[in-house]
Amino acid sequence: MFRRKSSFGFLEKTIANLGEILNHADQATLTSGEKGMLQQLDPRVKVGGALVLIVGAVSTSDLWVTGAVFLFSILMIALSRLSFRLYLERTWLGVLFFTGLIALPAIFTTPGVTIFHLPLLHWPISSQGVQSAWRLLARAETAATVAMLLILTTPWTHLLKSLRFFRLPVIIVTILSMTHRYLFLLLHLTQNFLDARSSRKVGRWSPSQQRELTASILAVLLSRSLQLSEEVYLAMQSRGFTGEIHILDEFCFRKRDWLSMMILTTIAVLLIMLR
Amino acid sequence: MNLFDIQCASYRYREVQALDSVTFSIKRGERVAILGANGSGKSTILRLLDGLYFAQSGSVCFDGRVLNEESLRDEEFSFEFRRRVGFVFQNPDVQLFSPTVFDELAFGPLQMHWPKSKIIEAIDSMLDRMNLLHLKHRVPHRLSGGEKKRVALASVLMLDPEVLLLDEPTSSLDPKSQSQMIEFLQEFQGGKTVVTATHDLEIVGDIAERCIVFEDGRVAQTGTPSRILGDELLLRRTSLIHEHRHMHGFGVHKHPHLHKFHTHPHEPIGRIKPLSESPGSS
Repeated sequence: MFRRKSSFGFLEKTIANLGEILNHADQATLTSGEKGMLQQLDPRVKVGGALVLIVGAVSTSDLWVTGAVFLFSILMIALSRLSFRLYLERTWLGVLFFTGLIALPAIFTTPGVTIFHLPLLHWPISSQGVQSAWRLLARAETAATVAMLLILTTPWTHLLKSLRFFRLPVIIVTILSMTHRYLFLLLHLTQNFLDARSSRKVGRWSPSQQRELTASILAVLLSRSLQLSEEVYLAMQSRGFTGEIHILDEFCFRKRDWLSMMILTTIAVLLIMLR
Repeated sequence: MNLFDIQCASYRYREVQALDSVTFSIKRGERVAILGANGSGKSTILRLLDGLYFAQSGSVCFDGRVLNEESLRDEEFSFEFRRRVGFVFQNPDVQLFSPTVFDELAFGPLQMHWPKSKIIEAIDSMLDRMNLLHLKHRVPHRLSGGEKKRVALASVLMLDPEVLLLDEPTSSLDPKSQSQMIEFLQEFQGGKTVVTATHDLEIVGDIAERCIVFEDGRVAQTGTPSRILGDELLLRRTSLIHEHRHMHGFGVHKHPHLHKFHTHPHEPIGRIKPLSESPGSS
């Protein structure tokens, strides 16, 4: 679908990258259909469990607890037949980079016992600074790992329905659903614009031409998305939509779901006690 | 008895007059084709018939009741109208907004408060009827053009509407999907009213018993398919036919592209030299 990164410019690269992200979303649809352990569970148990684990991992001050949740997630990745390479590429390295950027200054700015001086710059690195940076990284990695577990093992539709079970307002669930749906269409549209421009391009584009192109694409996209949203609303209205969302809920709790819920509740209690 | 009565209906999009004092009616159980070139007002009239847009002057009546904002604010009438009239949009992408094909088909019945067991049963039956069972859990936007059209049609047919409004049902379909769609529309009878907006003259004889030709937002002519397709001047004027240029052997000639059986004198306007006559050929 989004097939290349050319030397056209930053914009095309950005779109190609966005396209890759959406291709990843497609891959999530595939992994959620695997016959792994988490894929077999009721989505409501998974959403509830993920919430418990994330809240537990980020709210505790004990790094061992965060580490235990992380190890539990690793076990779940293996039992759910997910690829560790996929995790490394999409989650762990990305979180490490972005959280690292945020955590890095804390190593130097947090007051405490100096354990090392940075060569040449002579900036002091404190023990407390390293600990707080490490804690932030551990929490972020664990939370992202658990969230990815949920995304990669649950079809998007089931996830949305489960959010309704947890009383997330209908309007938010609808917005999430439609956003996910029409993001693909708008990205296709953008890709077509860029392809059409590229086919008529001669030589390199100057920065001002790139800015002009960006602005024109943004303007057309805005106009198209408004048109699209109006058409979609008319199509919904035509089939009786009056503003209230009705969902066909087919979820049913089985023995393994009850068992999983008991395990997750035990983990939640343990996390609270350890805090 | 007339199901739709359109009296001097006009509609304007900012700078463009889409419909200009249009008057016609559609009988219950009638199969009507609305013909016209791009921008002639076909899609706009369908939206007026579906109560999505309202006539800015004149009136559009359904079963004796005027379609306007006030009448469709009446929940009872609105509910009944939506149940009885189904609209298949030209672009299936705007119509397929649910996460899976199953959810798409469930959307209409859920709005109509059908019991869940009935919805599930009806979905399976419809998917089977439209040969879409294998797509049940697929994401609609990942389907092919033909599959999307069929899912869009199936999602509208779920409510078993009395009136089916179709906007360019065969556009952007490959020949096989196109013939499947025509076959379906031919089978879709039993007292149902079908209004199809199209500029594809080849399908008119198969799907309609009366044609209404639109030109610049006005009704240019009405009549049976054979009468309309036989009126070459009208079809030329409304840009529904064009000069067709083709070859017979090595002779090239041109004639109007009529969408019916026809004969014409083969007076060549040019001649293409066969390869054997070319200077470099042996």
